[in-house]
Amino acid sequence: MISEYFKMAIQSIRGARFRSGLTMFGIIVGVSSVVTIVSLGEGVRQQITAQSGSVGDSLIVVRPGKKTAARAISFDSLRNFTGGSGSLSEKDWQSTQKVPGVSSVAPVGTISGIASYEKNEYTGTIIASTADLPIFLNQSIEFGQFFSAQDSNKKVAIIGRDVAERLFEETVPIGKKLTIRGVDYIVAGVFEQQNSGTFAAINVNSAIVLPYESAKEISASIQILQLFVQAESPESVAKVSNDIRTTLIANHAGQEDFTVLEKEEALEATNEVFYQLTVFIAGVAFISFIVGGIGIMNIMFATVSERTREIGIRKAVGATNQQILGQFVMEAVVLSLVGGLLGIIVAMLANGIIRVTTDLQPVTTPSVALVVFGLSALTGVISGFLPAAQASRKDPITALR
Amino acid sequence: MPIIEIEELSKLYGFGDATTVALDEVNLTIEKGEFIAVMGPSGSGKTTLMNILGLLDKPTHGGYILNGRNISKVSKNRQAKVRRDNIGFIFQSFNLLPKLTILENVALPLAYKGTRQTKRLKAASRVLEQVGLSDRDSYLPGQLSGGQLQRAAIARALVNNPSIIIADEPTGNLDSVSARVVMELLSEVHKLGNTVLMVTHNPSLTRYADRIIYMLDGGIVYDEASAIGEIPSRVQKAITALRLSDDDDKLATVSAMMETIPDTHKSPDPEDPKKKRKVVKKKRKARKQKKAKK
Repeated sequence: MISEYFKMAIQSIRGARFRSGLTMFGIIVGVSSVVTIVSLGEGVRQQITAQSGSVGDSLIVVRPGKKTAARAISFDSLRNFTGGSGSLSEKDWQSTQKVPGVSSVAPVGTISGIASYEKNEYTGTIIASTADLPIFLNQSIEFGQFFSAQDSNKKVAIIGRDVAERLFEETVPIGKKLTIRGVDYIVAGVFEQQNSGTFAAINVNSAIVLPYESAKEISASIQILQLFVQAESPESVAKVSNDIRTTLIANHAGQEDFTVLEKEEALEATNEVFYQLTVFIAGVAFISFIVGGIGIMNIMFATVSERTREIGIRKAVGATNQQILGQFVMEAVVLSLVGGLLGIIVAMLANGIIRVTTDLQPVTTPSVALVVFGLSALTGVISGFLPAAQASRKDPITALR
Repeated sequence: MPIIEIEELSKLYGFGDATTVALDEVNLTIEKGEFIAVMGPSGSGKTTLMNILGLLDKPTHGGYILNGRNISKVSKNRQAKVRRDNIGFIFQSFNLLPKLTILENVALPLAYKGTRQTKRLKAASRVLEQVGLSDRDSYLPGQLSGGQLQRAAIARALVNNPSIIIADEPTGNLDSVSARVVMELLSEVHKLGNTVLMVTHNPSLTRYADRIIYMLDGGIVYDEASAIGEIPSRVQKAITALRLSDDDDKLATVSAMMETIPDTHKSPDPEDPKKKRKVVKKKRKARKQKKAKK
């Protein structure tokens, strides 16, 4: 009988194409906005995940501050540490390097200061690190090259795209000198443009990366914002991170005022903002979904009273109340399913446009499409039920009059 | 066994002083193969009787036995199924679904029965052939004439092999030529062994019936057999009266006809339903005796 209802639904939807299109419009808008926004969120998430670089699953991150409750340190609280007193020291870095199973460590130290070139000044993030940093950032050098381990005493700087454009007013300022607190650094490389959200709280575009040793000439006390650690293998991550924790607790006189994060947790911490944003916008989009459902309900009510005679005829030839109910519910379901399908197609088109016109790479996973499709079916059932019940209760004698 | 037996059937509307008696303890037996014309003025209870016989409505009191089963108190759901399997409706305004083709319209009762699409379309096209509309099966109702529409409606009524076909003024919306074609078709359907109950205002249509029932104030006041092709003398008189008065109003036709029936209007107290019923009961008794003699 279901297939029968389906055929009847198709018949009557085809019979009123314009109205059906209008009815679907609400659902199309709802579905396409939900799918587009969730796809954007998913795209950004995937881009950030990809940024953990060649280190991949063997990544461990040590950050100052105690991990509170189940939630890792959020992006915002991490930023606050920049100006505050960090609880990670150079000693922590060195002892981390000695932990068995650690293959490399890169500190992310920050120095406050303003870089200047001729008359221009630039307030960016001045980072002191080692030659190992690039393996942790999935960020290639567009021009020049990153400094090597031998260069750690040389006064060179690797700068972000934004720094190059604002401070030097050109894209390839290699060989030019910038000055920080009276010390000159020669630009040795320029990072490729960073497109999406920042991994591990580093905005590469506005960064000036200096070799750790030579950075000491500007500032004797470098705040270590985080330590990137690469374990020898992904399998040993749990053990190594635990060993790091034990070692650092010993360094900190028994206090655990730092947090050791494995890759997933580190991503979670930095992605939380995006998740919250996605959830919020998806919530807004869901409202349009509900509005679409109410639109269907409204039109279905109108349809039912307009088709009273048809209902009477169908009953006269032997349709039971349940059959009338089934037929009208099916009509609403087909309307919202077709709307859902069109909405997904519209979202795909929108994603394509976003991909071409912006740097964002929205990703529509099949599960998202499926969930949304299911939700539109549910919307159809819910919004079709009341009008269909009204239709099924109509008295055939009055309906035929 | 009669197809339909109704006993002491009443239908009341409203409550208290506002109660209207649409049917007042009506008794009626319909045998297989009968063609019954039901006549009577507006408000006489014809439509109510038809709705109850067609299971679109339930009686307030009394029994309704269809094919040996008492169905006066079944659920709406059951009612719909009995209607689907046993009743074929023909309406004055055709009542075909405008967005379905003629073939789909005719097949509709079978769809609710759960017959597969190919099978039911085949059955529908067979019936359409019977009514002479095979070449119009893919047309929409809007593209056909009134007479063709009513023939399609007859096909729809026939498609489920009903126990009884109930026709409510089948020619009411047709010109005289189409009306004739439709009535000839209905008559043919009757001759094939189908039972037909037709409500009409038009006395001349009684010539197709083999039994004529007159209703007044919710009761059957007269019930007589009539030879097919003949208009009973009383009805004949009414038609003559109509011609003389030159009045086209159908209601007047029927009233004129009623006046020619001595049993009703010349009874000393027409308002006393008991007396009316006695008259009918006497007639029924006489009929039964006749049958017994046979």
